[in-house]
Amino acid sequence: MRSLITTALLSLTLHVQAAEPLRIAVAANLLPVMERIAHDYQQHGGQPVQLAGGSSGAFFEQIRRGAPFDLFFSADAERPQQLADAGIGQDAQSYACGRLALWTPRHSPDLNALPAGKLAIAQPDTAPYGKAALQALERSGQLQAVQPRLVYAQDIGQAYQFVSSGNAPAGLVALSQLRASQVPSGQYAVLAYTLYRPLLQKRILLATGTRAALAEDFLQFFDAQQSTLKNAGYILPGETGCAAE
Amino acid sequence: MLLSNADWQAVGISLQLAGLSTVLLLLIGLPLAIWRVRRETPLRRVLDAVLALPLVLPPTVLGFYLLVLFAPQTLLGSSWQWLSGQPLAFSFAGLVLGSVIYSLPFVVQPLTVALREIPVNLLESAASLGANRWQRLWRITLPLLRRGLLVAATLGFAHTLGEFGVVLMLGGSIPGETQVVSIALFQHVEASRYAQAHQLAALMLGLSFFLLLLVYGLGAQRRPAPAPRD
Repeated sequence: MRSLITTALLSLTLHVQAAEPLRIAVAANLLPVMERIAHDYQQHGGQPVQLAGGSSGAFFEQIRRGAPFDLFFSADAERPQQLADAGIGQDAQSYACGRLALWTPRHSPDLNALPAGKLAIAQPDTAPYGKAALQALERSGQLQAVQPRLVYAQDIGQAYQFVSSGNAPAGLVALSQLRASQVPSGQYAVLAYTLYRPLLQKRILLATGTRAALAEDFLQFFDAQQSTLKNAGYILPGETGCAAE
Repeated sequence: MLLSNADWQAVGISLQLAGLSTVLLLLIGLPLAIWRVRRETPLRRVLDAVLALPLVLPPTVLGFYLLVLFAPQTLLGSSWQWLSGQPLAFSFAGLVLGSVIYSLPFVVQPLTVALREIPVNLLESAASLGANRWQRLWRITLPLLRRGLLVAATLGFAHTLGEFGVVLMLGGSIPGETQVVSIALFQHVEASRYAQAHQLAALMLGLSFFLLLLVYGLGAQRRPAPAPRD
């Protein structure tokens, strides 16, 4: 019995030592392209990377309470900044601006002629893409008409799923999702960036001690992947539509 | 309590959802429980396993399948849209349907246990005295089942009240329609509105505790039944 416990404990510690991957919390909209970048990184001899995808709000709460992530790529600029201000992590930096797209799989996409039925957006309260979606509807004068037909997804990933499952005939989703899933371009229209405040996304380095160097190594690789990010549907900081503050 | 109007609305939706689901759960659960107790067929094993599925499945699995099933391209989704003019997902009706499936074991299980406690000879004597099936149900089974029904109803109600995963998957968080307390709470936390989160959480904790107290109180009353003297 004792030897069994010893073995179990030993394998546990061995597991921790052997694995020890870089843990990265990734906003849902960035996950597909991040998976590719992380894959390339490991192909180029980088250390193992473990990605966790989810809503930035949930990650923010978890990180504030000590979740062991080494890096956090948020869907907004505020949360990494708040973490940095609270002394959690360092080096909060803009890495991309997201773009909103109207996706109507069974109709031609036109914000001024939305198909009947529900329109899925992410929760404006908590998801940056939801906030931008609401702004876009307001600035295009559609909000009043469409308000009773809005359904709120927890994050942009769920908004995408509401449309792809056929339950909502239309949705305001991230261009990055459509590109990642290779949705035919006739099904969606990228919204003019004047319709919403730039979806500036920031990241923050959370790792400390020896792990910080590993995290920085990954960031260096990430920063060199500009064309991958652009192809994935993002605007880079400093470009039109992505004013770095 | 200083709940905002939106939060009260969520409380209202949760209570309506739990109430309506409980009524439906009893209407569906009772015949199922009776069938489980009376019939001993191989099919019963399969039914038992199906009935227990919501106990072990992550609610997100159920929610995901329901969302797929509710899509207007499916038979269920399209017939509902034809009947009501509304899609089944993102609707209160959709949540009721999901809740009934999700909470069914919590109603069928206590009902089965309670039904097993009814002496078979009582029903047999009633039958030999000429009582038909419905008379036996109304005059003997249901009166003896009163506590079991209360326990089942309370558990079904409480479990539906605590539902999160299924609603998260197919609700769409529409205020006044599908935004229940657990979802509203989740959003408060995500938006760092801790005061509101605390209020809602405390309300749910208190309510759930009270309901469970009720269940255990009802359960305890059942046991020490002194023999009638007359």
